Amino acid sequence: MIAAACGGSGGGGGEGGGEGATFDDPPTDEGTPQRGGKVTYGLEAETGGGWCLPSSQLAAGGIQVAGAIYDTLTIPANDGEGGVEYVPFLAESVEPDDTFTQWTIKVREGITFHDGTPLNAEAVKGTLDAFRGQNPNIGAPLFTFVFEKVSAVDVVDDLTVMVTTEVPWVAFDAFLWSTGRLGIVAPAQLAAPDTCNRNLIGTGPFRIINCETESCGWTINDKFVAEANPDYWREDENGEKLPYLDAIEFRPVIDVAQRVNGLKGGELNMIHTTDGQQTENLRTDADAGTVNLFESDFAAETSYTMLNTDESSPFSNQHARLAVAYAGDPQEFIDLTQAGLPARSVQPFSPDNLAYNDPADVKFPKQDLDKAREEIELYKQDTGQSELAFDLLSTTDPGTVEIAQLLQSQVEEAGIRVTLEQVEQTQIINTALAGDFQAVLWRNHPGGDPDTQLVWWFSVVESGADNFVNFSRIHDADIDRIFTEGRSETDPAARAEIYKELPKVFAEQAYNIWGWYTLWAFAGADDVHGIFPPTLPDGQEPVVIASVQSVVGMWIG
Amino acid sequence: MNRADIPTWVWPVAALVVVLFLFLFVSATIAMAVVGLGLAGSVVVFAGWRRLVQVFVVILLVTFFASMLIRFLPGDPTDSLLGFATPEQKAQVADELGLNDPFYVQYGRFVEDFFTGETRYYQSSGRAIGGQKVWERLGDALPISLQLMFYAQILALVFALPIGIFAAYKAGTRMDKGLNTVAFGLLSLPNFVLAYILIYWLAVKNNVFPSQGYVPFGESASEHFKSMFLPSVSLAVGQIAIYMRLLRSDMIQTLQEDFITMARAKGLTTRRILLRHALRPSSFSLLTVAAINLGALIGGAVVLEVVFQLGGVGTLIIQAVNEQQFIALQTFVGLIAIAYVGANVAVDVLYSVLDPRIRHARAA
Repeated sequence: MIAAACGGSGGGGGEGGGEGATFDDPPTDEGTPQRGGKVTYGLEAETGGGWCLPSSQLAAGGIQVAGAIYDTLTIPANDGEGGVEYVPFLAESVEPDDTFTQWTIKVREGITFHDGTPLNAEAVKGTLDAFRGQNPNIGAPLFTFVFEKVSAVDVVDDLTVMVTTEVPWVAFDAFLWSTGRLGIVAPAQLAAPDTCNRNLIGTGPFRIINCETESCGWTINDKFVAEANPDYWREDENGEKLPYLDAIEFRPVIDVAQRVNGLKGGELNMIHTTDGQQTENLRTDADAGTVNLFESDFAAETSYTMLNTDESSPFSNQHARLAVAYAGDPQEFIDLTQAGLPARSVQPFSPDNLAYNDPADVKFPKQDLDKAREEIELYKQDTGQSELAFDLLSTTDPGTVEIAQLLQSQVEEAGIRVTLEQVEQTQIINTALAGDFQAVLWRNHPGGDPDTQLVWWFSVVESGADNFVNFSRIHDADIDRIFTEGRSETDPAARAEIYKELPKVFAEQAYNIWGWYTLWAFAGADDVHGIFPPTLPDGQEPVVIASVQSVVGMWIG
Repeated sequence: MNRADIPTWVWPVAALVVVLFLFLFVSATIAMAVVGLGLAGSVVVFAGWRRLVQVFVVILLVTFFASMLIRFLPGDPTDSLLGFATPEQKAQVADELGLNDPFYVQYGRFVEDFFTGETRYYQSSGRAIGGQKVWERLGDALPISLQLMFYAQILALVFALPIGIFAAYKAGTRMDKGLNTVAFGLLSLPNFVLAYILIYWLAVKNNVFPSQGYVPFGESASEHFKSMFLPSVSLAVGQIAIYMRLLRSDMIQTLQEDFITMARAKGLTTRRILLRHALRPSSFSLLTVAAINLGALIGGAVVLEVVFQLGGVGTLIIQAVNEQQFIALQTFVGLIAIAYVGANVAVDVLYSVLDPRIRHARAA
């Protein structure tokens, strides 16, 4: 599963919810949905590169838009035991063979793209091939690596494709969702690479082509307007066609305070945020009945400090990493900058992930300035440096800068010198890709299957070259082994035991300084309902993972 | 050639050129009428051409240094363009876009494209070449910024003129001191701080104005002005203080001149003396600063466009800086340089209209 968002400030998981609904307690009695109206959704950032999905770099805001225009073959659902399973969504069925090297995907019949062309096996193959980097006109550097173990995608019949993998791939169905990024794209969109990033054609509940009533389309840094798809294939539990809304408009509002102001002032009637202080503010409004609030830390991303272990960075030395781990106190960040809302994390995975360990078993370093100073001395002996100093990168968001300043003050008490730098959010991924950082405040690793995190930590690609999206430049034989074995282990219990080793390796090596589980808050005006998504097409209960909040069931009334 | 074939940038530049030449030739006509055809014609032609050459040289210098400074931004532009890509792919794109050429070659290419109206592309991530055209985006954003600066300037002058005149008339009194104190307060309040205060009280608490967003005039005039009110006020308030104090100082001096004493002796009303006799000669500093202040307005507009989500040129500039969009950034700087220099030239020429002494001096 690819990250929903990278960089930025974090809230984090915890019990979530005050008076606002939480994942564990979604609103159940909102009345009968009414048709009509438009939701104006304030997003945390613009998606500058557009939505040519195989090549796009989608963060939280971009994924929200993608979810309105496209559908994915699978979707996460509540497995009934507090975890996640991936169920068919656009697909009617997704079945592995006994060896998990062949996956047969049959799409639902009678579904059309927004341009009227049918959803069929050819279209699915076209999308999957584009994501695999097989489309010569559409680059897909990231997903080419993600799907490098897919050896073929073949059409079986009009509605069925077969995906063949080089290795047994137990959790392949999770990748068919990829945090909402693997939307099935119409052939017409992929056939026009020059307009692929803005001429969006999917099967989703909203469309931007052939609009009849709205002025649809994308004006960068202004808005993205989409009209309801009158031929959308989904219905609600009562057989009513979805979506209920006439239109949806997404607006990037980077300043979270202005986003909340927009909600209160009426310019926006839906927003999302991970800022703890603003979430607390919204809870007050929810108590007063002026907003509808839904919070989720289920399968949460983790907010943390990512360290670059490349030779050029001081963090190539384990003692340097441990020094920072012992010097910092993420709980203080949570209390001072996130209103104490999120839960502390000492590992990359949230409690609902099969790789999650009891925190006591992980043994991540706790704040201890004496030990920090010891590690600094060991670092100096190893490297001959006179001091431990590093650059800490963050986005320009004031909340994130605050966290960076707090971390700086904490580690300086141990004698570590820190220089702060800021980069705008849309650029921070590029900065990380280039390895042009020593430490950066980051947010990633939403829940689901741990196999989906291989892309971020596996040391090399198939050709043997370094994995360029392994931002931390980690080369750890144990981590590689865990991912290799875990991907193909078919026994669920054994698989869980394999992946549970991962947090312990991270703790021992302190590759990252874990912070907290990100708490996402979705707030709507008091007449906006259906924030929690409706029951899935085959009757399963949905889940909200990270920032991915489905807009299909929203209504105004 | 259809209207649609004409690049968007032509219209504002053409308007500027027309205004510039209009003023030049108005002053030329007056000068010729006063001192004679041959002498006035040669002086004005020389002054006019010299001024235009000055403008051109300044624009070149500004764009040259801005282009140079932009290249000091940290990072590699191909990281912005391609994101998830191998170093080899990025190197290829750098070659295709000429990013590896020497600076003077890149700058020369930019100057040629800029002054010939050749549309240039945003280097866009997702697809390195063939992204959206700079002029297209500018065509959408420029009217918003111009409206914001225009409304702010008008608001500032509308309030500053009567307050400045009144303060000068009441110089030394408690009223004057009070106004000065308020002016100092407004001067020290950053416009974005004022913006958030206004948003809180007028948008969030009382829902009088929207907290953000832009509504085009053509869509709804009332909503347009509502959407522009808070940003315009935020930008104007600091300028009101500056203009008011300038005008007050100049008017206090002017009111001590002999001709004012003469006007009083003749029995003219205070109102007539202030507005018809004292205001005009007191406006030169105000005029100069109003033109120079275009820079402050542009800077303020950049910040406020982000606060109020206006999608103007300021937003584009910030985005271009963050994404290291060299071509776009150079284009924006070039246009701003033209506007700034042009406005100052226009003011310079306007002196001739306002003050006959300058007109005669130039003609002589």
